[in-house]
Amino acid sequence: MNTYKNLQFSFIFLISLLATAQSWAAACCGGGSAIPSILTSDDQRQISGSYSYSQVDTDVFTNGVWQKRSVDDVTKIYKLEAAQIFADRYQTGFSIPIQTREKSGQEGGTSSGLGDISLQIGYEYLPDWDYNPYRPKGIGFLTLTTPTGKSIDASSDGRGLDSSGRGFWSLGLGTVLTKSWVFGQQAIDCNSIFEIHRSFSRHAQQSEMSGELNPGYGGSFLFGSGYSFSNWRIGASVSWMHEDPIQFKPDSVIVASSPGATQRNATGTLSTSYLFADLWSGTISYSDQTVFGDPTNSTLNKSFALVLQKRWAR
Amino acid sequence: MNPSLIIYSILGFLFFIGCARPNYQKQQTNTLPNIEAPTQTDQESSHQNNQASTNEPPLSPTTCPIYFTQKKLCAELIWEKQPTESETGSFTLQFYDTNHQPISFEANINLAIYLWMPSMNHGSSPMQIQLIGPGLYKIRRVYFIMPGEWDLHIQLKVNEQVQDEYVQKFTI
Repeated sequence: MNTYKNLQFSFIFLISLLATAQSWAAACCGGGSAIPSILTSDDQRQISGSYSYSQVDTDVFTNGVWQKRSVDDVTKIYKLEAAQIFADRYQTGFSIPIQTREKSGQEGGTSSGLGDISLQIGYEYLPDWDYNPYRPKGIGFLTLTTPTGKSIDASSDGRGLDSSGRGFWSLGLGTVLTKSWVFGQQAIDCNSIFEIHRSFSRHAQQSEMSGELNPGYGGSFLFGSGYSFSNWRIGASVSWMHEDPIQFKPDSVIVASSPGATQRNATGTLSTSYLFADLWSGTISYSDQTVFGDPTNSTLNKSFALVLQKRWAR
Repeated sequence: MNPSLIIYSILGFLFFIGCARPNYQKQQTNTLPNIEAPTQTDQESSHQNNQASTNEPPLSPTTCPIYFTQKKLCAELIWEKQPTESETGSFTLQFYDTNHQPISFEANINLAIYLWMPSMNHGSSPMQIQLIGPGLYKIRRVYFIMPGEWDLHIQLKVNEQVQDEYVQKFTI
């Protein structure tokens, strides 16, 4: 039974890396995933450092037309995430991204900046105390995304390269469900994450235009599975993202309002994780947004990510 | 039932129903059109073929390529250099009255031009506007910060208040 429990903890821990590795393939204009780094194992604390390399492959317009990007547009994100248990089944955490963007061409260049910092609080509403073969472990979470990154309308370099965030305050609610089945020294796990968030309006001022930006709701859903053996885990997942249109109401009565357009894409991810000694682990993943879903009004990226995580047992 | 079989069946189902269907468009060069004032149409040329008159009909809101309804002004846009994903472009903007005569603005009217991406509701880099003749402007550093569908806003302002506006759509 102890071996079974240890394997369960190891595999669930490796699953917890999955959410971190999912956050990379961000759409244009800064900003990233709203899926937080949640502590899904039975540990006290975890800290993750990650690096992702993401290249824009295709632009999808509102009419559904795909267009290959002809210039190199690369985003590198360095992210620090942490989560800590308090009061038994409660946890809190944060995510701090730093983004570097590089674009080729005559109007290209490089720019770096702080992205949108997010804070989270979670509660294990469905504990897995008796290792029921069917009932998953469930953690609900609340997230607050702060507009610490520079939004595209606040860009000052004239090319939008220094945009590193969405520019909106955002409040989110979601849940993580995990389940694993152990067969001797091997295990199969299944996980899903669902979140919905609401972004809040703000006034924007650009060179010749000023007015109110009114975002709406957004959400994402992830489903994944993995196979674990020894200290390795091989996993795959698909996540879908949706953002309501950002409506624009100009200050001038002559200029017409703009309703914006829905933004949607899907990310497929393959990952390999390894559990080192002393509760260290690493994950390498590849994400591709050109394979799944029905994208619209979005850039589609291909990304590599490397995650290193340290956890502390209770 | 073997849970692994259930999991992989679900994943397989999701994989096949969720696959993307790319709709790639072949990129074209020089895709941004000039917006010019009409010359005599072929029909009118044929009709007047044996006539001595060379007068063009007055421009109207239906025949004027860029028409400002409040100020009753006409304009045409001619690209000098097409912008691309990585390079800026430039164009000239000539203002006419309805009798095809170049017209200069009143002293208190300023010209403002900017790009706006309506799907994501953000702008692009500021352009440079230079008056080079009566009612003739050269606009430089026209740059689209990302591919997509864009609106070019041409505004006539008095004391920073928009009095009239024309919007032209482009896809780059």
